[in-house]
Amino acid sequence: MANRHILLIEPSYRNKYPPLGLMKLAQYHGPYGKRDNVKFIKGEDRSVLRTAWDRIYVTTLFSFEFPRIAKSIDFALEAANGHADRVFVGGIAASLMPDRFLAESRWRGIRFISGLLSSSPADSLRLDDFAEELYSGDRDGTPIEDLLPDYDILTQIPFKYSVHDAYFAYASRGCIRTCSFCGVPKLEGPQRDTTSLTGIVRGISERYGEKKDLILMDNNVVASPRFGEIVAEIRDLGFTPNAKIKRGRVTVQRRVDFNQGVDARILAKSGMYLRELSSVCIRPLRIAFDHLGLRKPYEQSIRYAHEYGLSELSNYMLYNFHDSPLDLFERMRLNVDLNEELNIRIWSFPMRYQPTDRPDRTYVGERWTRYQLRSLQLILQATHGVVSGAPDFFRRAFGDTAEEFAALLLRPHHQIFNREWYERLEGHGEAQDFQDAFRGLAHEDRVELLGLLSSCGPRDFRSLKDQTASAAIRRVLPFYVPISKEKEAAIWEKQKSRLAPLVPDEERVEDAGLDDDADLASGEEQVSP
Amino acid sequence: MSGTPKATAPGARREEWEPGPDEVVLGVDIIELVSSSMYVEPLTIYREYIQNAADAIDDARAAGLIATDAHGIVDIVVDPATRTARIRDNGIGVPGPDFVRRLTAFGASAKRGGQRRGFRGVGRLAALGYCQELLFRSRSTANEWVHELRWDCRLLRTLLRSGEYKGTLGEAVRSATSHRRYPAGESAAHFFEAELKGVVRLGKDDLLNDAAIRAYLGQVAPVPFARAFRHREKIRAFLGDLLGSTELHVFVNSVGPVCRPYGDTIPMRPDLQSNGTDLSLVTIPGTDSDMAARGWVLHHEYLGAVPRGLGIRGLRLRSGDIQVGNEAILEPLFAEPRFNAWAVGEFHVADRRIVPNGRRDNFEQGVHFSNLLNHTAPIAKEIASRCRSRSQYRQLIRKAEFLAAKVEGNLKVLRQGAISAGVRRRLIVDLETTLDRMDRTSRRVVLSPEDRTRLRRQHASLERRVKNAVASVRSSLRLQGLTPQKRHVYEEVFSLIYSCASDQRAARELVQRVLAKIKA
Repeated sequence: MANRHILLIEPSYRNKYPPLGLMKLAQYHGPYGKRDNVKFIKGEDRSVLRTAWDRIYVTTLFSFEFPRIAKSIDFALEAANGHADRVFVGGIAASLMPDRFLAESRWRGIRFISGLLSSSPADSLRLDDFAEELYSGDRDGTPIEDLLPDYDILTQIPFKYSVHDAYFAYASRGCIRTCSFCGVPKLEGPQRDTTSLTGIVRGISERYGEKKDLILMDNNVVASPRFGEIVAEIRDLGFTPNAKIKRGRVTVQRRVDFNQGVDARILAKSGMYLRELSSVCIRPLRIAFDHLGLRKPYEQSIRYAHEYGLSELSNYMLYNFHDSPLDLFERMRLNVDLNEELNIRIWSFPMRYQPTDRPDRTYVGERWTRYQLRSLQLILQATHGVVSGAPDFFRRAFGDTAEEFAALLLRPHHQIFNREWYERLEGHGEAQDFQDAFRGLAHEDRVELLGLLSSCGPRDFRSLKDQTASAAIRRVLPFYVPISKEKEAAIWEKQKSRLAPLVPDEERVEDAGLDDDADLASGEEQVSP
Repeated sequence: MSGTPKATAPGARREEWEPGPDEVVLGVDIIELVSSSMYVEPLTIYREYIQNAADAIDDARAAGLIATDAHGIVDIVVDPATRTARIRDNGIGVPGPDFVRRLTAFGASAKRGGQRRGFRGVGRLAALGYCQELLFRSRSTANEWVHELRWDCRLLRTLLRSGEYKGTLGEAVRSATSHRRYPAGESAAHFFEAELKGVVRLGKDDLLNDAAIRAYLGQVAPVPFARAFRHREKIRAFLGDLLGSTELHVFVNSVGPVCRPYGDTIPMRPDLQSNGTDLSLVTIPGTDSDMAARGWVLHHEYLGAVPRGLGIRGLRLRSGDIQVGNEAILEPLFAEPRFNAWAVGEFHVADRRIVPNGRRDNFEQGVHFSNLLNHTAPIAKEIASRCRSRSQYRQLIRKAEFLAAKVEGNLKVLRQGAISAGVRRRLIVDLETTLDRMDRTSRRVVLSPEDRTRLRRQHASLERRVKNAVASVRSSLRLQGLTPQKRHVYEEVFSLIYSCASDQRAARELVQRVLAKIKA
């Protein structure tokens, strides 16, 4: 059997890495597999409606992208002419919240695949041989999860992933931990070894040409009993410090990236781990710093990294979980101190916690407020999601003390979004007036103000004055009323300089949650100028 | 009866599964299920007998009883006066020794698993619910007598309606049937005949309406395309074996052979016909490397829904060259179902795993039929797209014609010279605007070269005439002789007439009549 028509759909969200699951399905169906005709689209490309598809696969990524995912699934059903039995939905969101998908009656009959396609193709795709479904007899074939990703399909779409010239692989799967904020235990299960990294890299290289980088998506590689062997394999594959490769007429640095980060609690146990990691061209070294309780192992890990010459560091900072704004500030501040002391560069990427089975991003942690989350998001929008460890930059963006940071989170959003304008340009006078009024607030007033501002969307701020008895709060409330779109546009026109540090796109986090939430500075849907 | 479940105490060990019963009860209701319940539309009984005839003719040809290039013949004779209908074919017939057993069996066709159109062994019972007496006659060789089986449908109905009848299916059949044989006389050496006596009156009495039978069989039966259909040979060559060994020649009351009703043009209304433009031949792949179906679509001008009475509208499905379902069987594939009624085409199922259901009003559901539908959907989409674009095209042409007519009308008003200077200026602006719109319409890329050239010429001519009219504009000769004040009053009144009238042409004629009465 060959020449079946297979459609692969990735929803229209903007993501950094190509869809590995679909690439492996393309391998299964493509020229080295079933020799079917494979078509890959991103979003809803209506030209595919002219073809009769024998099977359609939709991948899913972040659960909070549910609306976009839903659009793609509806489109897949349309492309399948309503034959739900031809549509398969898998990937992270489908695995994390399968019940949410199954609850949609309009998708009845679609197969939502949870977890990895790690058994035989027919078993993992739940193909029914009684119904004589396509390839339902394939019960002894190589699991799709173990196939090489098919890079050729990426040329079928105009969208360019910021990381594409790379080997995407796993040296280990799963994680030894079961952190409640993390989707990995549900998606991947416990820590285990995987197929040969060398085999994957060589296989990709033979079929699709040599790649510049090695992106390893291990969830906790340092917990692997094979850690030493894995690093040795990476070295043997040529990814040693200062390794280079030619791209056209230019020679560029290669890099290894454990893009899910490494576990500080293990790194801190012995210098061996970072000594080993320093023997490959790792850039950046991403260390998770999920809460202040990890301060000691985190700091120790950074010191080991410095000791072994790793100076380009990056770390994920979870917030909006059990932490508070003060906790986050302390963690960011620690990076500034370490940067100053060790003369290294640590970029921090605050990552807002959302329950993994929630189809939106509206969750507010118990020690955060809705207003503070929006404020932080606006600050991060200006910095493109990155917190630089450069002291001057940090002070300006986040304040010098925890109190300043707390006050910053309580500023009117248009003043945060247009910092330059309100701190140095024509908006300075208004900002001063606000500060004068704000200074008149007692601690209790600030708590009440935060509660009021978090109780509604920006468009309702005007009516908040009726809900407080405090004259001081009533004095400050008018500053929070969003400015008009026209005024904001004029500000953007005059204020061009931004606070963004230069971080290569490929080093940024997959999703910093910068484009979500409608109720930003001016109270309407807004994007950065 | 074995296998009766025994009561078990909660928590007790379950007993092993045992085989099913040694005997199965077949009640008399089976007869109703396979006759009147199965064939709801009366005319379908003709399809059932023709389906059996087609298989019997194939057998006769295979046995050398009919020449390979000779047509199979089915003669249907209906007589409303005597309330009888007779369907006779020149197929292989049923051999005498098997005759009674085969014709009283239920669902035990020897044809199951073969390449036959009918295989469930119930089709011949289709007429049981539609007549008082059903007779089967047959002979399979020249040496045989004619065998005859009689179903007493009256008695059968009485048994079925009686709440007290406790007999089995076998007992009911024994009661309702009788058989005999007699010397063949002038009868053909091999034939099968079903005769319905005392045909019941239903609706428009289509069962005994020879024209209705012809129209119905023209759509569903394996009959040839009309000779006048220019694509017939192309389609036949493309479909090849899917049409069976040869088409049947069906005669109804000696009129025939009945042909499929397709033609090169589609008479939409007495004054309007949609011309066939191109024929599209399609092969639909199967779920594996085999072919699921082949088909053809006759694209035409898509002027609207094809009239139902023509018997050609809608994408249709055929299996063994016999239609399955009706014109609406593929309607669900169209996002806008109305466009199915604009379409003309047929798909012949090649995959033997795609099996018509018992009623033959659709196919048994399964992955293979689902595959067929899936591959037919893009064809439906393309047809819908053609329908829409043709409709938009016609609207474009209508718009161009409307604009040209508007310019013509306004030109006449301008030349009439009866309106005031202010209204005249506005009229000239309106003329120029309309010409501009016409110019843009005539440049649309979707237009065919012929239509574009025609509209461009029309625009150029009107533009020239408007230019000349504007250059030589003056008051009507009738008004020229009046005093300026009087002329001004007339012009104001005429302008008011034009602005208030809903029909500009009527307004112009009224003004013309008034002008004619003005005396200088």
